[in-house]
Amino acid sequence: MVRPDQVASEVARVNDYAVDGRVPGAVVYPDTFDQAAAVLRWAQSEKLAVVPWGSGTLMTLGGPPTRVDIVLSTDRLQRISEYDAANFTLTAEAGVPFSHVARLVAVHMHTLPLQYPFSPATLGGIIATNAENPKRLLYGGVRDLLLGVRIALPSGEIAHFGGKVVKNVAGYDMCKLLLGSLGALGVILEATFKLYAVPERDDTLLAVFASLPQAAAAVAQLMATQLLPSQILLLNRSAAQASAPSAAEVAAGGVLLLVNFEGMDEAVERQLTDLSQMCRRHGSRSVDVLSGEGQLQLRHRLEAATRSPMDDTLPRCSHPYSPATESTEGGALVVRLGTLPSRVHTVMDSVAQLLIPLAPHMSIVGDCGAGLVRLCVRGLAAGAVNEQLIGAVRELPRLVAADGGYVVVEAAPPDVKANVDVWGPPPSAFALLKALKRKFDPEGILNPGRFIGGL
Amino acid sequence: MAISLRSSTIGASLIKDKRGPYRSTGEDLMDRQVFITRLREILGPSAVLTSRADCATYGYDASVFQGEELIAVALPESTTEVAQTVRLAREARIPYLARGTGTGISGGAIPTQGGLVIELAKMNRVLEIDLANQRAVVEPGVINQDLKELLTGRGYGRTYVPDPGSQVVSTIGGNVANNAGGMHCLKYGVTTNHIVGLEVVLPDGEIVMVGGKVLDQPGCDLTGLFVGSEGTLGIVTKIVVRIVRLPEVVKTQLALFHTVEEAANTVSAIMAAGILPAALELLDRACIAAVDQAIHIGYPEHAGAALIMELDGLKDGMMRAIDRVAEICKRHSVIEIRTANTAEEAARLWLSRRAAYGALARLAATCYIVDGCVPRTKLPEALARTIAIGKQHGFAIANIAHAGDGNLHPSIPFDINDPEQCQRVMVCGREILQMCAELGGTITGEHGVGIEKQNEMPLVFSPTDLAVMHRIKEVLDPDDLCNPGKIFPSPARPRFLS
Repeated sequence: MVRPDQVASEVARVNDYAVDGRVPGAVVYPDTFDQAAAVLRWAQSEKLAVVPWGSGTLMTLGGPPTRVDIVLSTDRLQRISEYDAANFTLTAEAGVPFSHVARLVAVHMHTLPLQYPFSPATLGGIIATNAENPKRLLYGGVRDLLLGVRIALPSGEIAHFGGKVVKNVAGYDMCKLLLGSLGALGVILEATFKLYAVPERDDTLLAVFASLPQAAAAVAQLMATQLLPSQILLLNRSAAQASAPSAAEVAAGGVLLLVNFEGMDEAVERQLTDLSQMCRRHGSRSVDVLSGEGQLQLRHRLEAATRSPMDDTLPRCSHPYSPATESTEGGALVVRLGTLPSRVHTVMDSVAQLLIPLAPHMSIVGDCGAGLVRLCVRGLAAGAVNEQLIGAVRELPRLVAADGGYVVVEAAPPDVKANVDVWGPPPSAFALLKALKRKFDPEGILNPGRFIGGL
Repeated sequence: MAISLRSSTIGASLIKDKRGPYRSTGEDLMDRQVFITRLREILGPSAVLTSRADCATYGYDASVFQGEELIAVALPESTTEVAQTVRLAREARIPYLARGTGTGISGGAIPTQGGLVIELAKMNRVLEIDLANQRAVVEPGVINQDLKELLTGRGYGRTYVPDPGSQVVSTIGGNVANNAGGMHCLKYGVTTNHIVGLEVVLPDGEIVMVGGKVLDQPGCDLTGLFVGSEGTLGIVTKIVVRIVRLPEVVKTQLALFHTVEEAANTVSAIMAAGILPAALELLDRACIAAVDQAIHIGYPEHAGAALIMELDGLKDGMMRAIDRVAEICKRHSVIEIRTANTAEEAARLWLSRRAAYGALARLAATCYIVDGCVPRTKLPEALARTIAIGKQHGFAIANIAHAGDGNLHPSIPFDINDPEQCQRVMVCGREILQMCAELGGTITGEHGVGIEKQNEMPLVFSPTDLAVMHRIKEVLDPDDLCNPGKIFPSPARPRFLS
C-alpha cells in the first residue's frame, strides 16, 4: 500500500499532529491518489478513525474528535496537474499550499483571488473548510471559483466531478457538496480552479473614524453606489493597532475602515477619490491610501492578529501568521459570526459590549462585503475554566439569530471548546446531512465527531 | 429551441410500460380515483386537473420528447400544499415532477413514467426585496424577466443577472433546477452563483431551508447541490437570490470577421490581455445569413463570423478598454466594428444574436440545438469539427456560441416527422458531444441532461463517478418518485414527439 518512509509513528512526529489534544497512532503520507484511496479503504475495514491533514491551519475548527487513529497528510500530494494559462484554469493536487499557487500563476500575470497570496492553507483545506475569501465581494467565494474536484472515499473509490469549464451542468454539483464538509464525506485529492488576470492596479484606502456609527454610515453610502470594491473591512482599535500601527491613532471606540479597489487605473483612481470624499463627509479625519508591499504587509499583520496561531514548534512549515516573537502561551479564542452586510457594524458593537469587558485586547474585524464578523483573543490563561468567557461565547448566537446568521468557534482553549457548541445549533437540513454522511462514510471513519452535530 | 409543436395525436399511445413504481390499474397501491380525491382535498377541486387535454398540455416541454399519460396535474399555491402533495404521491407510490413553464429542451419536465405533474405557476410572488443586503426572495413560479423588470424599474436600479435565452418565459424555479446559463456567464457566472438559499420540499415530504440571506453558512453547500439537480432531489418552493447594482456603463459592439477562427482567436486574445468582457457571442456564416434574410440587418457578403461584445463597469477607463479591444480585433483582420452609442443601437446589435434561433427556424421546421462546452481555446477546432460531423450525417449545421466560456450551440435543422432523421440527428448530436468531451469540455453547458443526454453521461463520468453521484439520489429519493428516469444513463429509449 505505502512504503515505510511514508508512515511515521514516532512520538515526536505524531505529537505534532494532535487534534484537540488527541494524538494519532501514525501519520501517513500517500504520494499518489491510489495510495490515499487504499489507506482509506484499509482504515474503513479496520474501523480506524482518519483525520485528513493539509497544512493544519484550521485544524482547530470543529468539535473534538471522538477518535484519532491515523492522520492522512496530503504533504506529498503537491503536484501541479495542469496549468492551462490560455484558458485561465489550474488543476493541482490537494496538498499544494495556496502561497505556492499564487507564486506560480503570478508568472503569467494571473491570480487566484481566493486567499491572500501568503496563505499557507492547502487547496484541499480551503475547500474542506470553505475558507473565507477576503475579496468575496468582488470575486465570490470558493463556490464561485472551484470548477472541479477529485476525491477518495472510505470505500477506496476515487471519483472525479466537474471539470475545466465554467459552464457545466452535467449531473449533480458535487463540488458544492464537498465545500465546507471538513473531510467528513471524503478526502479531496485534487481540484480545478478558475483564474483571473492580475488587475492593473490594486490599492487600499484607510480611513480612521472616531466612532463605529460614522464608519458604518460611510460604508452604507459606499455600498449604495455603483462602485466596485473588492473588500470592505472595519477594524476595532485592537485590530487596527495590530495591523496598521503607522496609521493615525484609532481612539477608544473608534474604527479603521479598509476598502480595497482593484481594476483599471482610471477606475481605481476615481473610486479612491469618491470614497475619500464620502469618508470625510462622514467625519473621518485621516484618509490614506496603501498599495503594493505596504498593503500586503497590512493584510499579513491583520491575519496574524485575527487567526489562531499554529504551534510554532511544527517543523515542517514556517508559520506566516505568527511572528516568531509572539507568545503562543495560553490559548486563543477565534470566533466567526455570519450576518447580513447591513448588520455587520451592529454585530461588531454587540460583540464588543459582550466581550471586551472580559478581554480588553480582543480584535474585532467586520467584513461588510461578505457579512462576517471575526473576533480573536490571544493569550488566554490555560488550565483554569473561564466561566465568564464560556457564558459570553454562549450568548453570541443570540446576536445574529434574527438575521438568520450563524456563529462558528474556529479555535478555543480545550475547556471552552468542551463547553460550547462550536458549530452552533444544527441547521434545518441536519437530518439530510446526517443521511449523506452515513451514505458516504458508513463506518464513520472520517473525522468522527468533528463535523456539525458531532457527525 | 426552435420547435414547432404539432397538434398531432396526443397521448394516443397509452403505454403499458411496467417500468418504474407506477403500475396501471390492477396493481395500484392506491386507487387512481382515491388519489385524485385526496389530492382535491389538499389543493381544492379547481387546483387539480384531470382531463385528457389538460394532462396532455402539461405533459410537454420545449424538447423533442414525449412522456407517458398523466393521472393529474396539481396546481399548489403554497409550500405546505406542495409538501402535502409530495407526501400523498409518496404514499400512493406515484411518480411526480415539478414544472415551471416548460421551456426546457432536454426533457427535464417530461413525465417519462406518467404520474403527477406539480405545476408551480401559481406560486409566482416576489416575497421580499432587500436592497441594502442585495437579496430578493421569490417563489419558484416567478418569471425571470419579470423579476428583472421589477428590479430595474421602480428606481431600484438593480438586476438579477442570469439571462438564459428563455428568460422571457422561464421561471426562476426552472432556472434553479437547470442551473441556467445565458450570455453573461463568463464574467458573472451561472445561476448557482446567484442563488444563496432555498426552501426545498424533500421527497420524504419534509420542508428544509438550505443557505439563506447570510452567506457561507457552516456545513456543506447544500444550496449548490440542489441547484442544477433538475428536479430530481426535491421541489424548490422559495429561492433567495443575489441581486446586484446595474453597471454604470455598458458598451455593446458587433465585430465582423472573415472566419470563425479569427473571431474565436480574438476572444482568447481579449482575455489574455486581461480584459474580462461581460458578453462575447459568436455567430457563424450560416447564422449571419439566416439573420440577414429574416431581419435585413445588412451584413457584408464576405463576413464569415460575427462577434457581439459587451464591456461593462465604471465609465473610467472604459474608452481605453474599448480601444484595446478594437486593436486586438484589428490584429485578427476584423472587417468592421459597429459600436452602439445608445441603448436602442445596442438593442439593434443584440438583435442579430437574439433573433438567431428564430431566423434559423425559418429555414427548417425543426432545429435540434446541441449544448456542448469546450475550453475556450478549443472553440475554433470544436466549431469546425461540428460542421464536418454535420456534413457526415447529412445536416447543414449553423453555429452559435457563447464564445467567452466555450459553450457552443450547433443548430441542426431536421424533420421531426421522419423517424430516421430523428435517430440520425441524435447520433450526430452525440458525436459532437463526444468531441467536446475529448477536447476537455463537457456534454452540457446549460441546457441540462434531462432525457436528452442521459446516455452521454459516460462520456464525461466513469462508472465510479456515476455510482457515487447516484448515491445522492438514493439518499434523497430512495423511492425514485421525484422526476424519475432523468440524468443517469437508462436503457429506456426516449420517445420522440409524434
